[in-house]
Amino acid sequence: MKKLLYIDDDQEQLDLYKMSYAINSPQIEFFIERDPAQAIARIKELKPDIILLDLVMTEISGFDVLFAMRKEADIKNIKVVAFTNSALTNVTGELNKLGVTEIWEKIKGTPKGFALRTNELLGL
Amino acid sequence: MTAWSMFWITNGMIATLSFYFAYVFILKKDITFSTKILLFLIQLPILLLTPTTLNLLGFDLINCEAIESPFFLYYYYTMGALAIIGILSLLIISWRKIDKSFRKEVILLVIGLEAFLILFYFLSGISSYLDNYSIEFYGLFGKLIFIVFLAYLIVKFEVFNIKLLATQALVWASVILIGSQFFFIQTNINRILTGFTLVLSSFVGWMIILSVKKEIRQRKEIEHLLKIKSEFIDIVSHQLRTPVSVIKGMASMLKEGDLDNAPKEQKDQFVAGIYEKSEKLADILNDILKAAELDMDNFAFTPASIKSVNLSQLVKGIFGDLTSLAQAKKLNYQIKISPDIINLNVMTDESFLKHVFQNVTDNAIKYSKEGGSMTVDLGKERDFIICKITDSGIGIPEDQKDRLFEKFFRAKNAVDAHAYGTGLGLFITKKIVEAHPGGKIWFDSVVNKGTTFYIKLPIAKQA
Repeated sequence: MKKLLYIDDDQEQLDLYKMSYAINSPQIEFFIERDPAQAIARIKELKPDIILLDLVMTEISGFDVLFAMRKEADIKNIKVVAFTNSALTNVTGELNKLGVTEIWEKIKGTPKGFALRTNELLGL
Repeated sequence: MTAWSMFWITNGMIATLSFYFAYVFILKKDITFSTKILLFLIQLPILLLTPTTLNLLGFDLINCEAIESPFFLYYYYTMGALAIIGILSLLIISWRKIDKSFRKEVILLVIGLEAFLILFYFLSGISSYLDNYSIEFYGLFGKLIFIVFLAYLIVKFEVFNIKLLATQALVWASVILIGSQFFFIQTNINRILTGFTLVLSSFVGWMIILSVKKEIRQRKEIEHLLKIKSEFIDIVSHQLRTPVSVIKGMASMLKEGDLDNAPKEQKDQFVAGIYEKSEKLADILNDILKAAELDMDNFAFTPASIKSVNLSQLVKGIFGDLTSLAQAKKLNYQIKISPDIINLNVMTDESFLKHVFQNVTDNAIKYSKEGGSMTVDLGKERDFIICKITDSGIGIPEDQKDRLFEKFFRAKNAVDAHAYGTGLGLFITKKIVEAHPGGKIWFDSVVNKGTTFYIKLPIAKQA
């Protein structure tokens, strides 16, 4: 079983994607983290195969989490997908520099589409 | 001797004016009147003593050298040293206050200015001490260094408004040139013609400077508007996309049959979610439209929609509607209504006024810490009702208070506490309050202690 950690502070979105992944990616164990302040500790504890990371969150942004992750030797190579509702006009370059695997705009896809793409990224 | 006197006076002024320039550049404000007096007093001994023998003890005609007064020299070099230390101290003391985006410019200017002053005064001092004036001229290289730094600042950072400076220099040069002709012309007709040309040139020059200033101001306004537009796109796109993406996600799952085998309650939950997000979307769009409507210079309520509204009832109603939110945060949630205002009304558009109290009360609850307190207090002050809404929330940072009512502005700590928000609420609120005659909204706030908003509305005259 591959492990996926979805970090987002919006409970409705966490619930929505959790349900979609349960149906469309049963080979993926889906974990959620709503508190971005706990994100690094959770990543270290779970060592997921892939992370879906929201960018705009309260107190700590997805960028902060990504910066912190890339400094930690044991978790810096984990695949991260930037998963956002922001207009990515000025941040794509920065995200690529931080080594994100892909950038997904929530509004441009469907929960099923994202789940199927995750399967591909994990070779399932 | 006159040239020598001017040399001392201008060199002394270099120290004081350099400090003055650095102060204005770094702190972006003029020095106080008392500091100006202090700088003048420091300069004063040079001005007073220049015509005396304390300036020059004599002149060595054989070697063609001036015999300088030691007192004057020491005073002059002390001024230079004070300017060098003063500018550096100013930089260190003000460092935290300087905006991070402006620090590079400040550092470049201070390096250039200090290099100039150190070379200028140090080499001048050494040459006097060694009685070898051949090295003094190298001090002038300091000016070159300063000019190079200044030019870099102008080109790279557009620090000074070079267009305005160039126009002013051109106008002044023309006026001085024309004015200087009075020293040479002999006939009255020439004097009249030159005088006429001088007046005309001064007037046209003044008009040109004004038009350049206007153009620069307009350019800055356009830049500001473009920045607001960009912020608007960033904020609104995220605020609109969030509910839309959830609606789309939920609807697509229903459409693709992902929930075919799910229990009925779960399907109902999805439908309720879609409805709730649609409502949120409608609220955001209404806020944007309301802000656009209120953004006109002469906004006024439609006369037909104005009626006499009992304010205490309106506020009490909103207070009641938001009780569940306050309870969820375990707030000590109170409303106090002074008995003398219970029957007082306000002439207003009720739907707009509701928005004011909903917004401010909702903010007070939203930004209050769990277990804190929130009080609404309605009282009377002469012909106005004053509503005080006090919370024990995160407060408003001192450096962001001026911008709180700006369109799309959200204080940094508010964004940290709640990532979602359009930054339109208080902009709309202020516009509505000010649409009442004498209506006013203001606040007191201390970070991490809380905020009190005051809303002042005119009492309707009793029929």
